[in-house]
Amino acid sequence: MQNPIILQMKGIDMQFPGVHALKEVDFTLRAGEVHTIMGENGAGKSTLIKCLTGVYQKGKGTILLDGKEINPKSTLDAQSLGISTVYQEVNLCPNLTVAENCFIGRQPKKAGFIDWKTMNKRTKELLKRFDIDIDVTKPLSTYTVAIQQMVAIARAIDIQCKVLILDEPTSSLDANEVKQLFKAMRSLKEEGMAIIFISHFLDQVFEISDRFTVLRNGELIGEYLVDEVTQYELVSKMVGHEIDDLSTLKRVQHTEAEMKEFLKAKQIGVAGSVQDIDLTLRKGEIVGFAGLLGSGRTETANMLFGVDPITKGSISINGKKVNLRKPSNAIKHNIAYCPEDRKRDGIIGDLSIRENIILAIQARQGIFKKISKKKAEELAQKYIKTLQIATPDADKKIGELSGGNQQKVILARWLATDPDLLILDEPTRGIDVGAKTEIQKLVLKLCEEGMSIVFISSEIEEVVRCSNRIVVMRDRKKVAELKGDDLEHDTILKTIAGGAKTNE
Amino acid sequence: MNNVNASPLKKKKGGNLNTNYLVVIIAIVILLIAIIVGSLVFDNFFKLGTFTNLLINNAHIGISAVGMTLVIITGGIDLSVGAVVAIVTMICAYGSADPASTFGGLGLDPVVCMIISLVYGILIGAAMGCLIQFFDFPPFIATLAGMFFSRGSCYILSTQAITVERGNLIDTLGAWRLKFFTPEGGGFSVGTGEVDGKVIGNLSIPVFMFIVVVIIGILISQYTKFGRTVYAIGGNEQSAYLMGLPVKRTKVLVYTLNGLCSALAGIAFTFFMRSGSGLLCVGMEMDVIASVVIGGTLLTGGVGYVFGTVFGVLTLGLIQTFVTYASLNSWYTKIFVGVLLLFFIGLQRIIVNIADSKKVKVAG
Repeated sequence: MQNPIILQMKGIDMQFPGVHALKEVDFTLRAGEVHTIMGENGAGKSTLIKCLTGVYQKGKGTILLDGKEINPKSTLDAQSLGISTVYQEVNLCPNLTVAENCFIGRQPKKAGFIDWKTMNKRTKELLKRFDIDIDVTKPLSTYTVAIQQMVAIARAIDIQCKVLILDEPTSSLDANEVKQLFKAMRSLKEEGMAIIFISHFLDQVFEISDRFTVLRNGELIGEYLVDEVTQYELVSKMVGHEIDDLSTLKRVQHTEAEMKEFLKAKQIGVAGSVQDIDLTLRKGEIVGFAGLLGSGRTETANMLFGVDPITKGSISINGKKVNLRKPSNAIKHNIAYCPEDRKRDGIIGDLSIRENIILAIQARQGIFKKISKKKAEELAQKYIKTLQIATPDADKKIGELSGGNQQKVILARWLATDPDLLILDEPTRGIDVGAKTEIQKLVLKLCEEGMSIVFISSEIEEVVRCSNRIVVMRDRKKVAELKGDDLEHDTILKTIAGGAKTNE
Repeated sequence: MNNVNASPLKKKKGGNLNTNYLVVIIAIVILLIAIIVGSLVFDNFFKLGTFTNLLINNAHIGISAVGMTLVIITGGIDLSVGAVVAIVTMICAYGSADPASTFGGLGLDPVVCMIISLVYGILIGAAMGCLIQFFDFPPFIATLAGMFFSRGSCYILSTQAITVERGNLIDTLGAWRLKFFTPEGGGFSVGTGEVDGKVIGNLSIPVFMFIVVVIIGILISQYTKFGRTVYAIGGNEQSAYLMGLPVKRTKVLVYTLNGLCSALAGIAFTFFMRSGSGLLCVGMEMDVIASVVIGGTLLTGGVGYVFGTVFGVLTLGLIQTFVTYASLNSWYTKIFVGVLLLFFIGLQRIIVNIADSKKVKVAG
């Protein structure tokens, strides 16, 4: 049984100077389905979406909405046609109340003035559909990203919306929040809304989608129903060749005695945040941190790097007690940290790749010993080569690179300092499958060379695959440390959920 | 996994008081404390006359501060207000002066002069708004240009200080007072003109202008699309644009509106001084900005209330009154205002930090 077609894009062609971004791509969307557009970074997903939302004007081809040809000139134009987009970054105003964010621009009025009461009431009803019962008169910034995202969706669907585009909506949500979002998506689907979904998370894509359209290098590879393909096949189609099956990655297993202890944390904690964490990190070992968002993973990393100085417990490095009051102390002890939010904490978008790479070494040397241009270029070339950063030269601004490549540059920045301990917080978030494998491989290789690595990720499979040992966190406490046979997806999930065994 | 399901979408605990209101509440509390302290320290302080004088002396600052509040909420700033007030006093005083008088003058009808003043305010505001919106000038620079332009133009009219003649409409309106008095035999009464009894306080026309402007300001900022768009722009301009709000139009309008407010403040100040001069109100924009900030508006934009600004203006005025009562050199006012401003900006920083840290804990 086929639902009626709502939107049809035929022969969409798009050229940018030097790049043929879309080559005669077709896309068909039916009412009441979740249709995922899949493809690696640069495959043309976002270009296709931007043609639809009026950000770009398509070169050739036609777009039919309900059988009528449309030519959206701007996002506003697209919105008035019934095409709404919710982006990864929540595009709302944090200072306004929840209700206002839902209704601004089309507030209900009474006697010419905004009728706040009706607005609050209608927002409450709107959010009820998503099972969210919150105080809508509080500023949006009071609530978590997940709720903000729902508010964005609520706003989008309340504007006479036929097609809802969700661009990477889940990348900053934890498992439960994703569940909540999917629930909302399903109820919208039942009401006959057509949803275009874009995500890098394969599991999620398979859970929610009815249909996939796969793009590669701007070309349409095909359209598939969810039952027709396996995850593995889908990824192969995206990448275009048989990928290294991630599960074949091999860990080097040293025994604990073989590995030299690098850092030992005893009962560390920060007042009002994470408490009583015991941790031993050895050279040549990858320790994974698993847990829900907000379980204290990032906070623990922050303590190890001196971002949040510990108020309790002690940290010793190579057997000597150290005092990590600020990141520069940690850098002196050869600790490196790739933070979670690379856009906010990591990259400096207007500087070149080379400048971004040498930043950390320069910081360690002090500002008076400038690294020569020659040395910098050498370093940049070395890492562009070893990490396979896709760029014509080291002078390109980092802001112009794709997410995966930006991540590699940040890795390069810290690798250049030749650290003993490398802390990676969500190193593969928001980057495509191919780049993901590369980064994971690299991490394993670094570990083999004797680096001690802390690997934090929301994707449990990824943590399992890479780590020798996994620290499970829940509610800002370390609840278990798993190793050997316990390194299994289910065991970890249970431990996170607080069900099964804990090694306490 | 039921126990996990319970937590993530739950709303944040604590911080039940909206932090946006908090700064305003603090402004009110500070004002009350200042009044109490003043009453205890100075004899003869806590009486109606003190407060009506406070209003009379600061009405022009208040009128201008309402417009400035909106500008600052968008994340902008307007440095031209003092200069616009000055040129309006000149337009009114010089424009309406008799050409035969010692100052020269244009001999225009005072009402015409006031209309010209308002038009000037609107035009200079709109011009600065356009520079900021369409030519991407930083508000600081665009309004600095507006400030120099207006200040310089004063001297094209006349380099002299012009006193408004007796009998001129401006003089009449400026001298008008609504008087509160104690009639002989006690009691309380209100009247205008010559009153029979002991006057205990009075209000001038600028005070009523101030009250009206505040009410209109509150209505605009809280109950119109334009007003809410102003807040949205201050919160996140890019988002506001993506939500389909008329960002460009609103930004030009907000400077235009502030130009109008400056012109109104200028008319109010002409009533107050009953004279005009290019030397008047140098640095008044700083007093205005200070009152807006003390009233709880964040200089980074997005947060603030016209209602709060009223308290900022009164606090600032009260400091001046204190200095007068203590017979200190009037420059002490500036020092106290400086200290208070520092205190408030520090306080806002702390509140914002607390709000942020709360968020991190929950959002992970």
